[in-house]
This record gives sequence, structure tokens and C-alpha cells, in this order.
Amino acid sequence: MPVVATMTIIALMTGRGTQDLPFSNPEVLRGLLDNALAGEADGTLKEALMIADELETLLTRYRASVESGIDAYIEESSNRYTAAPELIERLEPIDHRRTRTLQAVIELRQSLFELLSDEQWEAVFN
Amino acid sequence: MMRDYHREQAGLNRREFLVGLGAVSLMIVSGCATFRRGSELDAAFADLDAQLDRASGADTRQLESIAKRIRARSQALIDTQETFVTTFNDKASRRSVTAEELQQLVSDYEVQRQTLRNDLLHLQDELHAALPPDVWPDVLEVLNRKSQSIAARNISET
Repeated sequence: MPVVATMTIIALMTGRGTQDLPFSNPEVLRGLLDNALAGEADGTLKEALMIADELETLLTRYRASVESGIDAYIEESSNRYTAAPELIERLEPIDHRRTRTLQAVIELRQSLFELLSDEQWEAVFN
Repeated sequence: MMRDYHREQAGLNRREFLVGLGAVSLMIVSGCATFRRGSELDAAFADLDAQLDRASGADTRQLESIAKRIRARSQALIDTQETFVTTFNDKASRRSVTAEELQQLVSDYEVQRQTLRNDLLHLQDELHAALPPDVWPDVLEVLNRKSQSIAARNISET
């Protein structure tokens, strides 16, 4: 069954409506870090912004891989009959990629956790 | 011989109904990545409601049933994703929450999401089987157009 539609279901960790969520939107995280840590003189802001950059790289890479996956899937599925079990099997690699991306986001959050003091963390996220 | 315009019209309407119902149902599946209200998904739900209102007769009952189940699963998937993204960000922003708790949240969400997604794929198989073969190419054309459009936009907006 050449249903291209469901690819979009697995495509997103973030989506419209997540504009103000720091761990889904690196730009928001950068803004929070800039506002809260601008006065710090020990290079904490610079290191924290590097973590935000890593988050952006991670999410950008994930989106690019999903996009190419969708293109390949559309191309293939338009030429042949595929039923649900086969589709589910084909979606598994992207499911795994998605899970790994979320785990990587958690690791980046942990790096930020270790970098910032309790007070700095509260200043950023409160 | 006089043409039976009424019958022709009824035939056209039935075909239109089947194409519309199939396409809208599948479009709803494709819209699941978007959870902003007022999106094309809401428009799809409205179209589906209109198609279901127009449905009558035993031959459309099965399609109606499938479409309603697709709608229910789609909504559940949207709600699940919306809850996850919000909860994940909320917890990740709280210093007292551990990485293990976040991992558990991700794990639970992935199980729920994949279960709902796979249910939708099986429902699509049901819909495909229920649609007359001559209608399917029309449904597919609409579906491919819609889903590529939605996929492209969602990726560009994230």
C-alpha cells in the first residue's frame, strides 16, 4: 500500500507549536542562556552556547536524515504495493534514529546540568 | 433513449464520496505530525465530517467505520505527541529531574507513539481493501500531493 503519509508521523521530534520550548528549539535556548549568563565572567556562557550549538547541529542532522528518508520512501512506495507489516519494518530504522536523537538531547541537557550551578540553572530556566 | 440524469448524478456522487472519504482519511494520518490547532488537520477533520454526513447506505458503512477509527487514532497520536513535547521540555528544564527520568519518559512515549502509528498503518490497509480498485488511483493522487506538501512544510518549519 503506497501510503506516503505516515512518514510524517515519525518525522518530528519537534513541530509547530514548539517555538518557545528550549530543548526543542536551540534558538530559544540560546536566548535564555544569553539573558541569564551574560554577566558571568568565567566563560560559562561561551560553553553553554556551544551546547546550544550542538543541539542545533543534532536536530538539523536529524531533520535532514528524515527528509531524505521521506524522499526515498515516496519514490519507492509509489512504485509498489506495500502493506502495514512491511511499512512498519521499513520505519524501524527511522524510529531508532528518532530515539537516539532524543537520547542525545538528554545527554546535551546533562552537559548543561554539569556546567551550570544551581543558581545559574534557575536563572536560565526559571 | 432518455438519459437517467438522476442515476448518473447518484453514481458520480458515490464515486466522489469514496474518493473524498479515502483521501481525507489518509490525509488525516499524514497530518499527525502537526499539532497546532486550526491546521490543515482540523480542515481535514471538517472535510471528513462533511463526507460522513453525506454517507448513506450499507455500502459506505464500512468506510465510515474505518474513517472514524482513523480519526480517533490520529487524534490520540496528536495528543500523545503534544503531551510528550511539552512534558519533555518542562521536565528537562527542572534541575531536580534526572537523566534516567527523561529516558523513561522517552521510552514510554516511543512505545505509545509506535503503537498508535502502527494501528494507523493497519487501518490504512483496511481502507485500501474496502475501497473499489478504480477509486484508489484518485485517492492516491490526492494523498501523495497532500502528504508531500505536509511533510515538506513540517520539516521546513521545525
